[in-house]
Amino acid sequence: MNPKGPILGLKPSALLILVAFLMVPALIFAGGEKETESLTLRILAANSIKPMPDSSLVDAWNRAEEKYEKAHPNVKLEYEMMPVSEIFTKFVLLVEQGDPPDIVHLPDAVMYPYAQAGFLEDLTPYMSNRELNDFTDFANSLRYDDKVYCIPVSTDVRVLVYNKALFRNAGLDEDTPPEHWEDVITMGKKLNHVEGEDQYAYGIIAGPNFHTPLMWMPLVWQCGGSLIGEGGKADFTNDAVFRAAGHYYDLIYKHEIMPKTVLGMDEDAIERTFLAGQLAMAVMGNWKFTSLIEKGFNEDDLGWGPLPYPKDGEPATLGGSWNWAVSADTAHPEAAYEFIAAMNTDEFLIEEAQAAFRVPVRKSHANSARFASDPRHKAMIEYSVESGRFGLDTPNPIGFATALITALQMYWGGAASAEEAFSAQEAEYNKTLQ
Amino acid sequence: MMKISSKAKTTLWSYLWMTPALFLVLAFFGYSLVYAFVISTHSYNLMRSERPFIGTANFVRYLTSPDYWQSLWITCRFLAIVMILVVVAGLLFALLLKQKVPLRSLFRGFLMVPWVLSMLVTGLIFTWIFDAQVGILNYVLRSVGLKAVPWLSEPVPAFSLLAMAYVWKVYPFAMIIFLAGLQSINDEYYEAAAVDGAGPITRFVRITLPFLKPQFLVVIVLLSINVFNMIDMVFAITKGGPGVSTRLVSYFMYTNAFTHMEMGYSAAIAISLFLVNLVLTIIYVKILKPEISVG
Repeated sequence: MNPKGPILGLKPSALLILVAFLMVPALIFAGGEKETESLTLRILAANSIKPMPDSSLVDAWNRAEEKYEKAHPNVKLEYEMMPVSEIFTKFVLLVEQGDPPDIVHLPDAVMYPYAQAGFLEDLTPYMSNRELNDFTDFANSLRYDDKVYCIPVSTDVRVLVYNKALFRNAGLDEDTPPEHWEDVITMGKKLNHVEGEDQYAYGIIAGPNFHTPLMWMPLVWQCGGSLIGEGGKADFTNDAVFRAAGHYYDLIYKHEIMPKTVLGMDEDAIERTFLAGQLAMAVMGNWKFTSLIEKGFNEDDLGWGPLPYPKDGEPATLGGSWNWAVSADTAHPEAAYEFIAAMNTDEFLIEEAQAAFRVPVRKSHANSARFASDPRHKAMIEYSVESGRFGLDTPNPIGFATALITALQMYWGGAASAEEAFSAQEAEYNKTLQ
Repeated sequence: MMKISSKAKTTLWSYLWMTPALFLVLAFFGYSLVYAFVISTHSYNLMRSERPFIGTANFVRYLTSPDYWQSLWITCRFLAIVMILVVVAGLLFALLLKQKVPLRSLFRGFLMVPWVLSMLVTGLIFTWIFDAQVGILNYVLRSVGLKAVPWLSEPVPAFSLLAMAYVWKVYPFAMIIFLAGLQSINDEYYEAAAVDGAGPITRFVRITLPFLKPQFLVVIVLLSINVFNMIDMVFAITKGGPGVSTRLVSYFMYTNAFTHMEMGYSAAIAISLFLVNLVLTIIYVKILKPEISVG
């Protein structure tokens, strides 16, 4: 064969050009089989993850989601949503069944034990140094074994919310909420029954639900104590606990400025009661601020302040966050992380924190002018940074919270003394750790 | 060739026809029971990967747990109260429905409405009616100048609320059982008693009640089984609170399983409940046996 002669009817040079031309598409699509392979990402989340249709955040959420879907047309997002109270158990059961979701949206309280149990993927390798160094102290506190297992969106903080109109009617300065426990009692007696027998001065949820211990725990810290001992065991039988529980008890029975109905309330019930003007002051999460305004409470009459603390104690409040995490057993860890990153853009995080009076978890966002423009929001951020404490460093936070709720209800409901109630539940919870 | 008697053939065919149902029972119920026994002998916590064999430790744990016995006591107290109320309500409505009144069928349908609702839905309805702040009952009480009741904040009101919701849900079941029993009583007995000068109360005590004895026993046994297994209504209304005042033993098992993630311990408690149900079922079958033999 003559190498300079025609091959397959083509000159060699022409054949070379043809082959090169045909190779281009092959090179483009080589290794691209992964890109076009369709996959479904299952996301397990609480009902509150997506903004309600009338929320100011819904556009930001939809933009972020649509942008992700355009960039990843091969990925189908499948949400499984449920009430907050059920998500913890659901996730653990799915892991046990060998059918975990790819992505899960969980509160900070369970991050530590879930990471310790090996349920979550280490996300540190997926993050850039810039991102890792941009986390605030709170976000860094969620690391386990110095690795990042969850990405917080923003944090919240428990505050005192109060009705300025009732303050005025009681002859009190509407811009001066109580600073100490003692002030709560003094001011509370003036605020009690201003608008009738059903209107009380003060309210904190005390019903059998997960938020009850979270609202009450800061009082223990304010007394210089803790609820968790060595090895994550419950420590319910110390002076600070008895003092904090006794404070609630006295508000209901001794000073009668808190209605007994709080023993059956969850956070929605206390919000309803406050909206109805039946509570002059209430302890709530700061995310309720926006919710109260959206539900029609006059913004000019809505005051807030740090949680009152004892004069001989120290200021303290509880912060918390909802976090994105990836299941350790997912088949698509990279795709899962890409989704989380897409839903945690700077734009969305700042907008989310601003809309709900929440605290940003990225240092670069904390100084944003958007937070500085609202003095209330700025003050809440400062309060969270100065006095916020976080975390339930115990192997089973849900069981811990349940034991604590039971002890509190037994004592406050009059079924047992503080010593009996707390020692019984402390023993019951610690038995589960053996 | 060995001849098979017709009785043996009937017996063999009976077992053959039962086989598919038996297979399903063994597959779902039997497997679950065996698995429960297995995990009850292990330290089985969903948050821990090690699940060592611990023998009877879980059984000893609940038998020595004051919380378990307290829950059992609360359950027995609850059962005693609702039993009386359900029997009285069921019998009363059954007696009323036996009367030949206009629109009797309509009343019967109306009285059956609670039975068609699920326990969970019933619980939610009662939670809203009895809500301390926005519930219609407290609204009515306040309107007439009475003090609102903190239904979910105090042990006695919460226990009463749970009992009321349960009785409302379950009385139609008792009503239908008693109605069937009443309709099987021959009217000639009443006529003869009337001729002898027996008044309505005497006829009720001397004729109606003795004839309804099997129905009483059926209602009591089935109600007992139902109460010992009830989780949904407790979950919907009180979640065992305030404190532990409405924590029935089944709910105690549920919280240990799905809050404390203690599957092994909960399985041991579940087996204790299974044994209670087994005893009650044996009693139930013994009650029905005369009816089956006659049939």
